[in-house]
Amino acid sequence: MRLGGSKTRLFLMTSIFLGPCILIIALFWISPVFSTVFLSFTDMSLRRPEWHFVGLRNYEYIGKHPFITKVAINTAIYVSATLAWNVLVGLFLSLLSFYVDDRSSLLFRALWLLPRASPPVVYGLLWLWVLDSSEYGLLNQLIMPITKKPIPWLVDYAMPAIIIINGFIGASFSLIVFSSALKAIPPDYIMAARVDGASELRIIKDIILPLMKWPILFVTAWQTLSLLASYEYILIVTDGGPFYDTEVWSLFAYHQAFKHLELGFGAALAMVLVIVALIIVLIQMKVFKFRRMITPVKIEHT
Amino acid sequence: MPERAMLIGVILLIIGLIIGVGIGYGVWGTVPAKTVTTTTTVTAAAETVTTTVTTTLPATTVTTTTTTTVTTTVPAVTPKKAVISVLAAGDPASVTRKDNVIKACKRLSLLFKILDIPITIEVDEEKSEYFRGKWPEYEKKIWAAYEAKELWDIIAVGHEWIPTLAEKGIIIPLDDYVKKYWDFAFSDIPETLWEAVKYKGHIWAIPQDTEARPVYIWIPALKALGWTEEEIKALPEKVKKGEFTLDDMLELAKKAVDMGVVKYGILHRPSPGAELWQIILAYGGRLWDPEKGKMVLVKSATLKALQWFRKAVDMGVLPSDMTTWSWRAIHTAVVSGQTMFWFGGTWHWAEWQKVPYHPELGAVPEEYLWEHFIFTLVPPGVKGGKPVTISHPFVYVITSQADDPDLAALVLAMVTQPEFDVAHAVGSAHIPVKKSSLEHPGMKQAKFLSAVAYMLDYTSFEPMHPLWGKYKDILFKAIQAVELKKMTPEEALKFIEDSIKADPELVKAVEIVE
Repeated sequence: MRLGGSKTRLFLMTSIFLGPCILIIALFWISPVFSTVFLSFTDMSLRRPEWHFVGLRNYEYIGKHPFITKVAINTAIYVSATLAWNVLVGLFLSLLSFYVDDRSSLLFRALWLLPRASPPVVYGLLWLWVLDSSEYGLLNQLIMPITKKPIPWLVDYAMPAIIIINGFIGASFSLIVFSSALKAIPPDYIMAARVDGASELRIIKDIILPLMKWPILFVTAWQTLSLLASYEYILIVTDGGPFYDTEVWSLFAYHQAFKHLELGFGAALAMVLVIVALIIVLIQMKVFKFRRMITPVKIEHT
Repeated sequence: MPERAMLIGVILLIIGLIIGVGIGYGVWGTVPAKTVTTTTTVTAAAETVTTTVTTTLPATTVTTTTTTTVTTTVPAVTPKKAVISVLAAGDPASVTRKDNVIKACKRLSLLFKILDIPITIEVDEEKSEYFRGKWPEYEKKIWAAYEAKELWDIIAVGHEWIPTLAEKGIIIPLDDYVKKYWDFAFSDIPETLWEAVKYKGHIWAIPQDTEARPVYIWIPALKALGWTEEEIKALPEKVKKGEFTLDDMLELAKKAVDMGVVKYGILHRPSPGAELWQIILAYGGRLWDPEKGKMVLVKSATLKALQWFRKAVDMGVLPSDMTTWSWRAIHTAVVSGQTMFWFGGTWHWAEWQKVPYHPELGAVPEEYLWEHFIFTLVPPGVKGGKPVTISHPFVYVITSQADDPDLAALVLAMVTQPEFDVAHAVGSAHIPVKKSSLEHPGMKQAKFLSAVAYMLDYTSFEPMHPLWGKYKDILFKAIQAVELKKMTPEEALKFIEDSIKADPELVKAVEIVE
């Protein structure tokens, strides 16, 4: 009896504490996945009063679309290049801030957080002004004395432009994670190495970087997923153009669903992205040994 | 130390936020609610009323005085009160699309009051809106309002939206209302405009305005090339007769650029729009088959048009990145004489006078425009061919969620009266929808509109098909690819064809002909 009572109490307590959280997850995370799956098998459009189940027609259309390969390649280039920028620049900046005094480092990090703190539209519009094709664009004003004529940055260098624009946002995230990881490295190691006569480069290579393995892996995994799904800065700056040059998969899905109002086709594109993201997550979990990554902090145990 | 400083910083930030919120509440709390126009309600009485109403309507640029004599037997009417809201959109000069409806409501209220008709019309000015943004955003706004059952009573849209809105049940057919108010308001609207609002045998909208899309030519550049006044004046006629073609246009533009008379030879719009499809029509193509209700891709004409765009870029007269320009940069280049030709619209004539695009002069006076621009139809692709233009009639629709469709229809009958029609036409450089409007005193000021009115004889419309938005996006992308030299014209044509064939819906909606 007592055991039963305690079980009931346990169940009640669990429900009270976890219930709201589970409900929120079910409402806002799980149900959209199900509705996306459902929508992707329909021809639902905001332009038509009725909709039908169309089986795999939307998925067939994805395969047949004349520019789907270009969109896929764009996505691969965008995600990998931005990821590399995020991790490398973030790492470099955190190391830089590690070597300056606390107050300057705080100011430095705060400055790098500005792009993330600014509203995306403001940040995007600022870049539009910087990269404007006319002679009035900021970058063109700076280089015109040399080039003599304005450069259409968002036409000739559209993909590098969106990689850099997104890169600055991502780098600030990496900077925060890496900076805190650097702070967690016991200073004794570094002092001991210095006493032994190790150069700073050697300290970074043989002490800091090995101890930063887990945060680097975490940032890589996390940023891969968020970059796959991100499109807002591309939408503001180039809108996928010129002529599919910066059209990445998530933006392509957005255009189908919210520009052409084809919810069914847009959902099918989103589903493909979800599946690709899941596969990447599984691969990363294997390669990066995720299970070990989420165990308590390694540094104290080494 | 830094931790302490940070802590103090955070505390100060929180205090600042609290003070800010307090001030915000204080300020907002004192703002009075927006006023809503209301007329008085009077008791019904069956009687015969003969009254003369003389009112002065302050329009955007015209002030018209109208005298109306109304003799009518007023039946005993049940007192009622209606709230009308309107949504409209367009260029900065066309705000009369919304304002005219509001004024018409007020005019009706005044008449009801004078005639002792116990009907009250309120204009929901809070909800009524003139939208300035991209067309897909406008479309989304309407769908979202429909789903939320928050639609406006009257909406102004492009005529090609009618099939979509009708199929979705967002708008109601207006056949009975058109019949009822035929003599009062609609009898002198040309048949072509009624064709533009018919779908599946019903009339779904009331024409609001129409326009033409002329080619503007910079007169000082022609003069610098040695053209005489007579030759310049004769150019529109030469275009009409098919003696001046699109290729002649390229040659002339090249000459002007090579001589350094202008910076650019030709500029066109940067986004999908009728100005671009006009080139396809100029080469004998068509986009719409009204008999079959299908959109059309004429491959030969489309290829010639794509080749013309590429030739313009290759000759150095059309910027390769034209489709990435901002509207402001384009208008600035046009009004300051940096381009020889501009594929524009009649409404630009008004826009240039209202928006400060000129780097030194700001908004330019109309005399400036007459001195510097001549305008023609879009020249034909071949000698002896027919010049073209595309019109895009704007229309008023009544939504299925309108509180009182009968009253909304009466408002539309009122807003179609010449004084409103003319106020909008003159203020926005659109062509009035009523024949009688052309004789209105207000039109005497509108020398430009009289000068372009002949273009309607050469006009056609964009397809009235729910999937036209999708089709035109493909056409635009093909033109963009050709101009950016990412595709040859032949490849771009194949891209259009493949895109249509790959799309399970477009393939049924577009007829592809050689």
